[in-house]
Amino acid sequence: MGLEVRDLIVTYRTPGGAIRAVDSVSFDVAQGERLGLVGESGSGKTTTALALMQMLRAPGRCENGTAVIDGTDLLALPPAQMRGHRLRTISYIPQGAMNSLNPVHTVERQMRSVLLDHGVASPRAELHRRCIAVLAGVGLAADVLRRYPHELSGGMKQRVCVAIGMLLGPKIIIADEPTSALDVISQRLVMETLGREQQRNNAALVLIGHDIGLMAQFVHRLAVMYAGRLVEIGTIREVLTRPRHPYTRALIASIPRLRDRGMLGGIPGVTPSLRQLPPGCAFHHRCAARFERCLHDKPLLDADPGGHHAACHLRDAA
Amino acid sequence: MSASASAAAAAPAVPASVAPRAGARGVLRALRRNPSFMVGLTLIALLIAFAVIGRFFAGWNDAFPLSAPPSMPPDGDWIFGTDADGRDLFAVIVYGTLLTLKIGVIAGCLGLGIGTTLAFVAAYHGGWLDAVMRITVDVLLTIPTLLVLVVIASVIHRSVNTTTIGIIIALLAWREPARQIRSQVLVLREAQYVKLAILNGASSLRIIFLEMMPNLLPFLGANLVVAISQAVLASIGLEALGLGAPSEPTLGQTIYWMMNESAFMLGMWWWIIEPIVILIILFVGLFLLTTGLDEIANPRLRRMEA
Amino acid sequence: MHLVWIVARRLLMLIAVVWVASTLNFFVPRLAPGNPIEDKMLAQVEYGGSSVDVRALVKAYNARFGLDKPLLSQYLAYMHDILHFDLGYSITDYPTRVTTIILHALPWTIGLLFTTTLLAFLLGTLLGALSVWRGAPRVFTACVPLLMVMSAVPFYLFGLILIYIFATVLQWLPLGGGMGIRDNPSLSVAFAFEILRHSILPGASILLASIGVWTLSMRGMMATVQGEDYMTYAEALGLTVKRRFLQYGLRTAILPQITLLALSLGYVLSGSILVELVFGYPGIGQQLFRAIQNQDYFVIYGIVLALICALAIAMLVVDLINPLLDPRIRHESRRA
Repeated sequence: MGLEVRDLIVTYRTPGGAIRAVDSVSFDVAQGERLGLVGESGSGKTTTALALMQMLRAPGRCENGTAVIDGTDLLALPPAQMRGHRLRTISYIPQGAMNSLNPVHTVERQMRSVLLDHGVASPRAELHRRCIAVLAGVGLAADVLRRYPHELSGGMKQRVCVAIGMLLGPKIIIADEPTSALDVISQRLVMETLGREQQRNNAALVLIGHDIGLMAQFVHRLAVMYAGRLVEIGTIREVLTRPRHPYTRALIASIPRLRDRGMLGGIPGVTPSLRQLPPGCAFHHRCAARFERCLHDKPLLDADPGGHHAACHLRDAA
Repeated sequence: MSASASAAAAAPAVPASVAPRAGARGVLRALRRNPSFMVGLTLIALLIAFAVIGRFFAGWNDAFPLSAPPSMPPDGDWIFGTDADGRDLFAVIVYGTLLTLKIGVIAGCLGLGIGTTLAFVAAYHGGWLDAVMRITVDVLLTIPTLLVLVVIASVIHRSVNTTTIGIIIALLAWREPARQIRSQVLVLREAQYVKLAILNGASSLRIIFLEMMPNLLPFLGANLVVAISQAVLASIGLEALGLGAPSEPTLGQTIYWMMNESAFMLGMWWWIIEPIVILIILFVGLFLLTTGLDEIANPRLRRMEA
Repeated sequence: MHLVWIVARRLLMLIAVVWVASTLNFFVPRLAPGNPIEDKMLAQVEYGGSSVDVRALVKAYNARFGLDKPLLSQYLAYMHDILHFDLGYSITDYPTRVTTIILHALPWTIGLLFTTTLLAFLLGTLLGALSVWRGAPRVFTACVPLLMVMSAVPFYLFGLILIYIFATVLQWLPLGGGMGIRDNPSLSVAFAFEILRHSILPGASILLASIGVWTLSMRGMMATVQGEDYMTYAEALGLTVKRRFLQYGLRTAILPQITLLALSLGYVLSGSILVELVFGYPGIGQQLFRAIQNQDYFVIYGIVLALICALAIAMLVVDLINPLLDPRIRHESRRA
């Protein structure tokens, strides 16, 4: 079971024409599994997450695709039902928790609002106990409930967000760069908490980010996005040790290593504008291994029996 | 009026465009894509054209009592009608528009000039001088303009004319520009190209006039229009309270006469409607002009509206 | 601790405002050419009528503020009176005290001004918030340009138009005044209705012209707030639209709006003085107009000073609402 995303297409209608921000993206995440989603800014990671929650803002629109969990297609739900599924089915841990909490309400009031709006009509004391329980789960004391967001540190705020995310025992957790604004110690704490809570709920987790080092320690499988498309997906070991797409290889090469402290291997060139994607493979102008076919033929994710897929012509040519 | 002014006053100081100068052509292009500005400009231009051209058809003396038969509704001879004292209302409206604008422009320009000078002095000198000015302006801004003007005008109003009214209003009209421009200067001083000019050893005057002024222009423009609008508002308030120049037929004075000579009881609609319509055109025009200039001065607002 | 500091600073500001206003009242007539106050009093004495009483006023005035006294002692005597809420006597209605005149007119002004300002603030704020809220009916956005244009027109010009339409042409509502000429104040429903009937037009003119001010500014604040991370997160949490609009959007966007309310009170006050004048509404504005017509300087200065003080106090009160609503201001020192 778990989440099955198929052929997700998101377009933005602009005066200059429609832009495909997410193009035919498909992936599965099983219950209890952690999938990493990496790529440069603008590659469509966050847009994918927002699309799964039906939270795209105009002019963004989900053109096609299904996202099935337990027989329910999240993308086909009417808005009123979708609201009930947010947090209960699909829980979002925000990027930049610095400003994600309501600045004028206490933590307890915000947690209580969430429970009330999801129809948890228990007495106040019961709600209070429940809030204390989830906070304890993320290692925060009960007195955090009385505090306002500005009285908490960045790491505490992010853990409060994790706690809120677990209030209803979600089936899917989407964590969007949950540690991007934190110091290293807090990062570690938040990731540990997130992992523990995910296991406790046996939830499917999608971790969005661009830190491959972090991914290597945390996720089971890794998906790489480039210019709105999935270019490679496989188990973390497979992808890191035997990357098949040149872009993935370049990404891995750009991780700084202690052993050979030379120049950082950045990726030459810039991400193409989604407004005018080159024909063929979107990566070809930055790819050292390109050949004739890459210039006009768009590669599709191949069907590898071992579950390690890549969208590159190289293997076909080989 | 005040609507725009108070809104501008309260909005958190939006940093001005610290981007490199767009150049005159860029400004012109921005203006054309700015409906508020264009409509406002058209209204004000039409009003001025009406008054300037109208002067050829109306004698100055016709704007005074007994120049025409009293209380005539508009007809072929007196196209705007006449009031209860026998003024030709066409002449009154034509000269009234010019005189009211004169008060606004005198007070607006003086206010902006004094305010800008103080703003630069305070922002450049900094320290205690800046603190003193900031506090003074804050305290003075708490006191409503009209009330202070009432106190001043009540003791000298027998000898008052439109020029003195303009000067009296200017005594308070510098507060808002001083406050707004001071914060803009502080922002601009941090801009890269200004810092570069300072490092290059440019003199303060050179920096102020060659580097900062071009960027402040839309902002000064908006402040000038607000100041003019507020001055007109204040002058009409004074005149309605009976503190205007009784010997000059401004629009506010016309409203004062109309109210105190029972135009409503007599049902003289033309006497009521005409000055009101002109004033509404004037205020709405100035307001739209301010909104338009604000959009140019603060690109952030522009994006927000989109 | 921080709250105490805010209150202290605002109180100092209040004292400064009152001092500036009263000093202005003292020096302006003394710097003017001639001596307008004494001229007026002498004219009143010659005028006859209650001349005996006015002579007593002139004598008392000269004893305290006569030209033979040094300016400083005049100023100190004046400040002493101000601090004891003694604003002197009316010159034209001699035995009447200025404070009495003000206290009689004040309820009318406060009643009209408080109600309409509050109503305009609430309506305008709500309308402004709805006009940019994603998913709100388009009607709210459609009325923004009209309200914007109306906000540019001074209150009393609206008043004049309303009088002409509803009192002169349609004759549905009275031309002016606070109550009918033959009405006697009483605690009856009919009298209350009469008061209400007389305040509809003045109230409406203030309301119509000021709603747009609040709509426009709230529109800007709400647009900014909707871009905040916590609004996106609230949606991701599956909170109801009602809660996101009221407790997240409106609740945070209203904070700068309240600062604007404090800053705009002066404008609202000046505007409604003129509205009272236009409608002959028996409040402070009407008294000010009468005093100006009669050159009753003590009444003019008294009213101006009282209004400036009232305004400064009102601003202080409104400014203190913000720390109450915003925990970030309230706790600033604790964080530091």
